Amino acid sequence: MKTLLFILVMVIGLVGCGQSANDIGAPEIFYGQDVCDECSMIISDVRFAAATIDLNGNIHKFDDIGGMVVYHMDHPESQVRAYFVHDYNTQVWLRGETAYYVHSPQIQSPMNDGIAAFADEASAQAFAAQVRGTVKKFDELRVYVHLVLHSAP
Amino acid sequence: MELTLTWTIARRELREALRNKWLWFYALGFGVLAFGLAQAGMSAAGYAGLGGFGRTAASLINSLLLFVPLIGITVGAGVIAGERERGTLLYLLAQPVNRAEVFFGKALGAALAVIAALALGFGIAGLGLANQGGDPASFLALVGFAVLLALASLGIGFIISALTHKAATASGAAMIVWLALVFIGDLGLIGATMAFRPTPASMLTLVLVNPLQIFKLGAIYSLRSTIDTLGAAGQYAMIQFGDTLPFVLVSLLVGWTALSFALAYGVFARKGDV
Amino acid sequence: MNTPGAVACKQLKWRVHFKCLYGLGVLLVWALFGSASASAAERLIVSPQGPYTTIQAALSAAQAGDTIEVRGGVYTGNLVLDKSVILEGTPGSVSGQKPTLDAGGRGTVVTINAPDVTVRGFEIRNSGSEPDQDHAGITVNAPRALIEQNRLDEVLFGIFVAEGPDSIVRANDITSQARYESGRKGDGIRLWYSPRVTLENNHVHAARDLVIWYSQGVRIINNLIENGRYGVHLMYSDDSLIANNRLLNNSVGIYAMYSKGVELVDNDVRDQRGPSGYALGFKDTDNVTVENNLLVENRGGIFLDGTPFTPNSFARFENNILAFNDVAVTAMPAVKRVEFTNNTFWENIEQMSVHGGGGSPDANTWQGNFWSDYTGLDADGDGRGDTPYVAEKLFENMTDRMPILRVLLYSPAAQAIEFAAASFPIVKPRPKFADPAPRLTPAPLPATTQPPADTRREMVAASLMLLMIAAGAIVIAKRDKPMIESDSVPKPTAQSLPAAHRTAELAQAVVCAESVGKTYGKTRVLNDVSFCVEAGQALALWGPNGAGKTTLVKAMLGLISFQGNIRIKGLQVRQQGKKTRGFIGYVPQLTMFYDWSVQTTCEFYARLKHVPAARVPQLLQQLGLAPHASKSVTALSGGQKQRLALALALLADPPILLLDEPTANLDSAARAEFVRLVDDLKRQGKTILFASHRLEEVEALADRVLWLAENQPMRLMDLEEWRALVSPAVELTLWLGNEQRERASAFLNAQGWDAHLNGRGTIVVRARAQEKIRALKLLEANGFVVDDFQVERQTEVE
Repeated sequence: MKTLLFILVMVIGLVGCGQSANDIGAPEIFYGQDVCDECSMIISDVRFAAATIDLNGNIHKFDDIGGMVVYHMDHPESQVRAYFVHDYNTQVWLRGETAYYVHSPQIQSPMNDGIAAFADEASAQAFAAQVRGTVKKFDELRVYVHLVLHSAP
Repeated sequence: MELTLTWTIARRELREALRNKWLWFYALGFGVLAFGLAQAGMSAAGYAGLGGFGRTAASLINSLLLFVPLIGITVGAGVIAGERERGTLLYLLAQPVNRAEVFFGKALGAALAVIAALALGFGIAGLGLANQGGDPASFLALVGFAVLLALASLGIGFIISALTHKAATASGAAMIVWLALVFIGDLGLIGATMAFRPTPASMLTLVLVNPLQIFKLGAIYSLRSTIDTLGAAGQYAMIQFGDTLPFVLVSLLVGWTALSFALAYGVFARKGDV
Repeated sequence: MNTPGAVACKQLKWRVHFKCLYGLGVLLVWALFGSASASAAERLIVSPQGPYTTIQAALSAAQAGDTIEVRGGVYTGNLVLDKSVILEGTPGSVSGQKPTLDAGGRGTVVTINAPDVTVRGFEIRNSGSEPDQDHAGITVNAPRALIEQNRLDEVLFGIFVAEGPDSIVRANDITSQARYESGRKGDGIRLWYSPRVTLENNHVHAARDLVIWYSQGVRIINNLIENGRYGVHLMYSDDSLIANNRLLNNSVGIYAMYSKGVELVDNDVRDQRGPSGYALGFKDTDNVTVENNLLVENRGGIFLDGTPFTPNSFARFENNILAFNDVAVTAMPAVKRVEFTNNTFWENIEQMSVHGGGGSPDANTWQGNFWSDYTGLDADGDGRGDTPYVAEKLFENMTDRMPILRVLLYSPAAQAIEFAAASFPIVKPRPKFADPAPRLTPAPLPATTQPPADTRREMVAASLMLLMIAAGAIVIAKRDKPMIESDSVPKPTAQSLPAAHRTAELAQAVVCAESVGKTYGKTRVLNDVSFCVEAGQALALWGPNGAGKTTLVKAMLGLISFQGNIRIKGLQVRQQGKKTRGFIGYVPQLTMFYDWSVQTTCEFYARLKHVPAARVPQLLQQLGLAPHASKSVTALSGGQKQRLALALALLADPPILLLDEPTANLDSAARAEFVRLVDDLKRQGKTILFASHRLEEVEALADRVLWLAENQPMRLMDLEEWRALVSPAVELTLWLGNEQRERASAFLNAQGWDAHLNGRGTIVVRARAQEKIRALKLLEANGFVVDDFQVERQTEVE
């Protein structure tokens, strides 16, 4: 029995190591179960769910893209290795650093940050026209969140 | 296998096991402890009305986790090794019976003895809990899980017994295995968790390797119909299994029992010597 | 006309709230205005029978302030109220049911675009279900709507108040579309930029959340909110009052974020057990007042993150009861300046947890709370503990840091860690906080608390049932009669057969061993042993200790593995051990009995052998054990024990007796007695195999001898040969007269003796011991005169 336990422990160890060693693997979010690291609320909406992996291998999960940006402004101890957001249309994981973002008050996101992410600029522009929003690159988004969202309420 | 022979041997074993003072000591010890816990936990100020899962229940589970495997493993460890050492096993096997009849007769007898001891302990405990307004269905479900844990432990005890030739060796080994199941495994698990940060799924898997933990989950489920109290792994279990969780846990304990007895029988039969 | 503000204030009997007064003022003005215009208002009737058959038609005809009364019937389509009317449903005269507004699964059922609209008394159902379209039962887009006594079912959102300030939502029953899981459902009630709204007496169940966003001065009073996700989610909404609500079995009870001025009083929050599972949660919220709430059996009682948020704000928790929660209070490490005063912490698994560990024990104020796990005393009798309550538990600190370890809660290992921490200061955990003077009595429960169901009788019955099971086991064990009759149709035993059959059976009774070998480890104990014993014969297994006699006996009983074959009555021992053992009565060297009486012992083995118990007394009589039947076997003498063993061996009247040095531990009288018994059995025709190293036993019983010796091939011999081998060789020294000496020597040699003259004038004859007298007689008979003789032993077997 001890041997079995040992094997299991080793397997988990390997799986754990494998996860942190993998550079671009997006973490898995259990919708309706996982809780946002920023606001502690349940993550339900795939389109706005975001995540980061920091240099220590810690995984952070968020229910809204604004929450992700705010969290890492407030937690300088957690240096981000990779940002992950979902493409609003296809609901597949994207790297946050290279995604295009649309901001509009018309976008109903879980924390009302009103930010949607897209894999390519054309889709972002199309959606922005639809919701009368603006398209932002990741760095612009951070500045916006810092100035507008983060200084609220 | 002739069932009449198995039953004859089972009755002898039951009779023998019921003479074991330790069995009654453990059973009474547990019963009196639980009775005392129930009395001490008698809710002041009508708080029982809130119907919660308080320290009485927690302590009950705690003491069960110590006592039940102890009863099972020590009784099991003594059964074959003791008779082998005394020489009665050789004489018994020289009769027109086969090993399966002897083994399963002994297993049945020991199981009945352990169940009787648990019934006594829980009977006393239940009289104490009655004043607390316990729920009889939950209580009996708890008893059921305790019986299954006792049987799984008994099977583990039988493995020890089949492997050893001296009662003293068997008792020593039983205590070591008991310690391993009760403390060392979990402490190891804590260490491994610190080091590897398992996911809820793998944590649950690791926990379900240990029959004591299976029992614990079952006991908590019996008392509160959920195990989400146990953090992420508990919630994972509830999501994964939901209402079928008790059946999963029962199957796991039954599996442990079957596996351990099968293993013990394998050793007993293969040894080919007495 | 009853003003909602007044009702709200009445329900807050215990305190007068300034916001409430403000609301009351506004509503009084409105009520006066409303009742003034109502005097001129008309009443338009809609029913399936007319005068209006559609609401739309009545609405077209109506003026602001008119009442449209709908009497029963089902009205489909998306209703838009763009006039300030009162839409009132009354039960239909035929059906007796509320009129139904049904959107047929498309869009919102009722949209209110004009101020001061009332919607009362409808069954509102089947909105659309597009996730981002806010399809709702009722959407309010204008101020001062009154929505009451409606039942909303199969709608995505229930009531969505978007920019509808001063509206009242009262006594509605709201549930979302049942087919969706909680995250996909709509919110039961959603307020959006709608200040001063009152939600009261509503029952919201199985909807997603109750959302209050960007809405100041909202009052949520006396609602029952259950089986949802977020019971109340308050965000960017200042000056809210949440009072007298019951929140049951939601994922999270009340979650307030980014708001200033949140008052929670007299709420009953139970069983919030979803992910995160807090009864009350506060994120970046200021001026929080939480009083007199009952928080029971939630996963978390209170969660605090960034609360209070701004420097001069507060968060006060007073007179609350937190009972049976997994964790009563969870706070992020940075949380500070929270005041916990006079609360009751009753039997929470963990009283306080610092999320992720860390934090300062002095960050927050704990004053005069009751702690059910407090162990201190109150010597001065002031109702306060004399020593502080300190929350310091090592395992709790570990689970705070690594929440997944909670799976080991209640484990003895967790207990052991706590014990170690308490015993050895070196691993003493860091305290999380201290309550310097805890109160010693818990707060009384609200009078509305139900006493537990009295299950005493059932519990006692269950306990007695268990005690009866225990007693039952003892009865089974102690009963002398078996529960299952061991064999209702006893097998015909040899004895019950007619004599002729019996003889025939005995004639077949043979034991045959072919090339039997046995190795223990590296030691070869038996090597190539072959023999056959015919029925009625007696074979002695002869040899020194360690020669393998007992091993051979065990092999014949099929108790050990061995090489070669052993057949008992033609059956392979290895394959049919049980059957072949049935042919054998076995008596070991020292029989180990269970600690029973003679009678019980016999009955036990009789049962194993399917022999009727009636045979027992007869056998005991036969073996002289009848007077000892009730004695414990431990009280028997060695001889009696072996006779008992023989009795047991004879229970089934087997054709073969296998005796393994049965007399080794007996004194000579007992031994003689035993041999006599076996001899009798042999005469009765039993086949007997017995191990022995006593000459007289072999002499008395054996027909043939199997000679076993260590590291030597076995030998099978008849009794004569054995005698020759076991008799010692002697040197017979003979004194004869000089003249006869040489002739006598030659004569003996000629007769086949080993004789020679030695130097001292004597003849030395080497012979078997039993033949020495024959040498003397032979010489005498042939005229030799032996003057004297002397016998010297030379060698001896064993």
